[in-house]
Amino acid sequence: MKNAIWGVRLPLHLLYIFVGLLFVLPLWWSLTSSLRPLEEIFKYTSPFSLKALFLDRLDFAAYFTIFTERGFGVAVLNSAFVAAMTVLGGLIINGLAGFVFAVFQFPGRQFLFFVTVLSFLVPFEAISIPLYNVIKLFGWIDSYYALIVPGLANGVVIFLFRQFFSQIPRELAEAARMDGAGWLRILWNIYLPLSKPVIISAGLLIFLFQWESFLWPLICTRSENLKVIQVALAGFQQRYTTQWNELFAASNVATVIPLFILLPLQRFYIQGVTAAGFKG
Amino acid sequence: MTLSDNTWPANVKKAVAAFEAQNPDIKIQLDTYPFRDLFETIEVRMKAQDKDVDLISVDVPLVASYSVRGYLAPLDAYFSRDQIEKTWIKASWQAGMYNGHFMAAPQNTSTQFMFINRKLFRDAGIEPPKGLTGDQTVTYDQVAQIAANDRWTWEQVVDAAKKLTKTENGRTDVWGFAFDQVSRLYQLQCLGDSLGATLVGPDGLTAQGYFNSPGWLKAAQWYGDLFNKWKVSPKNVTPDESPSLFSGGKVAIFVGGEWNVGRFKEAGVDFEVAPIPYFKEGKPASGTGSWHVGISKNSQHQAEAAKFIQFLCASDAGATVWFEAQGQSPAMIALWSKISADPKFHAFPDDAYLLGDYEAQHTAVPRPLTPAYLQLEDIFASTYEDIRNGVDPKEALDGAAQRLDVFFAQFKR
Amino acid sequence: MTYRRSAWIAYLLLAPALVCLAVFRLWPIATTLLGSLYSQSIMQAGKDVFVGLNNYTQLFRDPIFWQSLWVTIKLNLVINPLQVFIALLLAIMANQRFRGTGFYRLLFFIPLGVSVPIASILWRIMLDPNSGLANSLINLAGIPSQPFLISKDQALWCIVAIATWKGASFWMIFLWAGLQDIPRQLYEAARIDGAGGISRFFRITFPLLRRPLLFVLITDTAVNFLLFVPMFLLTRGGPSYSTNVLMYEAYKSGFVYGDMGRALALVMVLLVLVIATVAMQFRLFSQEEAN
Repeated sequence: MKNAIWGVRLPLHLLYIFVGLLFVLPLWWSLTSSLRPLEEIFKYTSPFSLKALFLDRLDFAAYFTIFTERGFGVAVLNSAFVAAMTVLGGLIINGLAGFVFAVFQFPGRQFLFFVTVLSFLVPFEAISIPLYNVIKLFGWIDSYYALIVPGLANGVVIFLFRQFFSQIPRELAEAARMDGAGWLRILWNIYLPLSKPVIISAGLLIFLFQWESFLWPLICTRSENLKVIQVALAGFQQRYTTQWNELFAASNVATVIPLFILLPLQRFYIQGVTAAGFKG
Repeated sequence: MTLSDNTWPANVKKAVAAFEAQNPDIKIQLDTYPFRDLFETIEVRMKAQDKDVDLISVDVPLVASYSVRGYLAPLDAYFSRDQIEKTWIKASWQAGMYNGHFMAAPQNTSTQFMFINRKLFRDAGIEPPKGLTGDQTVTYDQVAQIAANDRWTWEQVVDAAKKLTKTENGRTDVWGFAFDQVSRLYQLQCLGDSLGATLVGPDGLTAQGYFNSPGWLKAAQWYGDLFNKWKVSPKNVTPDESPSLFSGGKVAIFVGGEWNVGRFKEAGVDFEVAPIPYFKEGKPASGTGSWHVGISKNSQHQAEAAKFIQFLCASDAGATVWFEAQGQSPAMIALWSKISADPKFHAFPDDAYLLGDYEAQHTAVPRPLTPAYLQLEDIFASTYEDIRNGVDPKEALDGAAQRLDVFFAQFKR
Repeated sequence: MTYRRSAWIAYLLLAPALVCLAVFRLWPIATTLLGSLYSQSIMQAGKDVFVGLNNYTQLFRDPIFWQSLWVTIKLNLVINPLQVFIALLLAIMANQRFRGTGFYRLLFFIPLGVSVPIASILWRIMLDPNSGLANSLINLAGIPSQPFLISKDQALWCIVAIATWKGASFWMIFLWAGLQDIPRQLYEAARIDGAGGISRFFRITFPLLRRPLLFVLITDTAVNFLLFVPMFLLTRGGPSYSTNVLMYEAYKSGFVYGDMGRALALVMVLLVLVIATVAMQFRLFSQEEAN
């Protein structure tokens, strides 16, 4: 197969290009539309002309206005802060839990793990209403706590950590124990150094989850200065619908930021998920 | 003290500032939300019996609903019946009553106009209806004359719209007609009202025979035809987008709220304000009603809250601040008299207020009083959206009436 | 690792996670169940009154409920297998090794940064019947303009397409990871034995991919049963209630009508549905494994 002529591969490449285009085209259009003046956006879409997808000049005005006039910067910072905090806290809490499930023996281990995993079958939408009441009880409505704390414990992430840690050979831990090491030393010196892939993939998962989160922030926060990025975007639609170029600019910013983190780290992401192996 | 308010934070802030200036010992914290979010927030917080909220903005048709569910504290102790009748116009204070109690005071009211794009009419060579334009000044009496005698009918609107719609190769560049809040109850109620048909029965809890009455069927058919038969109005345009079509010169005739006057003036459209149309065989009817303010049942500061209501809704000072900031038709009788007399309001576009005054007093029909208003409004909107998208009106109305009665049944227990 | 103290240490370390899960997941579920048995009383001006199963009986009498149930089931019957299948295809494509796959993989990853609200808004504009990009493009191919989101026949499937466009990349990653895990020697050996591509797939790939596939199917199902943000942002349950999934009806009941009892009853029904479906999927896959 390595000696196949380029020509034989062509239909294959076309297939890939087609699929790739399917994914990229809408986002490309969003990009070009954000860089042109408002009136031009729909001028070339119908009837369709290639001008819709290619620009003769770049107009960055929209990118400026969303930050200076629409306060979009606040939303970006909010999302970044909330995501960062959740990743930090989430890695510790879920990582520890995964570690315990993988390495310790204790009564009720199976049951607790089962319950944990089952819990991730309950997506946010289902419990958003009663969860609101719980948060209200704590007095956390309209605060960063409401945005961060409910997202910390995550069944999928615990599952990932547990699977990953199970793969690490027991002998390493046993040997260390023979030398009198406590669990803390074992975690720190043995498991942690090997955990880079799973930490990255778990971190990315948590980050994505918070960054893209819409319904929960919508419900639990009110103030303008607590708006996260997805809620701010949906708000664009209500108030500033005419400013399509700004809407596109904002959504491009919201999309590109996670990509800047994801794409370079994709190798680790895959590794982490692979190594989790799913081997029960 | 907290006030949960609506979409115009800057204006409310002005009113709050004025109140605080007069009452230095009371501080008001303002929570504002976009339209859709406000209702949801009120629901959530009131259900949770939030003690932190003292005042809430009550969209007038929700007075019954909020009262039934115990969200509001009655205002009877603060306003006598006599006071009420003397301070506000009838349609407004009536809408704030429930079960004989005064539950929420009117901040302002609203009215509807027909907006004409003069340039498009000129280009098409059509004579626009008589109305208020930038090249003349008027008195109240003149305005009343126009509203009483020269009002266009919906039939006339359609005729003009057909000639004004420009379609080429399946693409429409200019639409003859558009509504402001497409498919919403507040906007379309005037259609049925013009034919003398109500949406629900007198007990506020019966839909069958009212929602799908022959009068409403006719109105619904007319509405659907706008999009599907005559094709003079665009589908798939949301209420948020609709006004910008007019200000962008893409719509020739626009029927919508008075608040669009300022917006269109700013956009530089050459427009005219005419009275809202009616059905030839019926009588003129216009939408009305706007925001009220009520005291939250669980408020710990009811007396102070009442003071604010007194200021904002019933005092000359407060109501004027609000009127000047917000620009919507006042509910206070005293303020109307002031406006009619003030020469500032004889020139365009402020003379629109005179027209608003006329409509509020002669053609305004308030929205149905029912504790299930939220369900009614929601089902109305999806029904008329369906009709807009081509569903048979009779089918749609019958289905909706059935659904509504299921909801209403709950309240009949 | 079995030392006596370890059980306590285990519980201690688990505590934060378990407490969080209990407080922010399990407790709300319990409240949901409880809350669905209450309703706001009209007589007592808003106080919550225990009504037992009344919310449920009212629900079952409401034709809208059955309509929503049907829409939800219809949606999930299609979208779950579809998304898993497409994710699998993408994973296989991503797994190939020839010049350029690195670049293509990058393209496949791009929708990852797109959130559901963004995807919804973007596609709504593209699917606009009058001036949308989608219609313009298919016009070029000679196909007449479609109503898309304002047609009661097309709206639901448009949402399926949008959700799949957004989600395929995400699930692809798990399946691709699973593919990477399969040792290449197995394929080599099969090829030497003369097995063709299809046969290799069903004999080697599919069986060894069972676990990741199950994981993806189950998690995706849970997500899709509660999918409602596109309906909320794009169609508001219409046209003609064709996209009125149970979750949207629950949201409306709770946040628009203020009828919390009904909202929670709807959520309970949904949860039961999800658990039943997932249990069934689990059963199906486990049985096959036993073969």
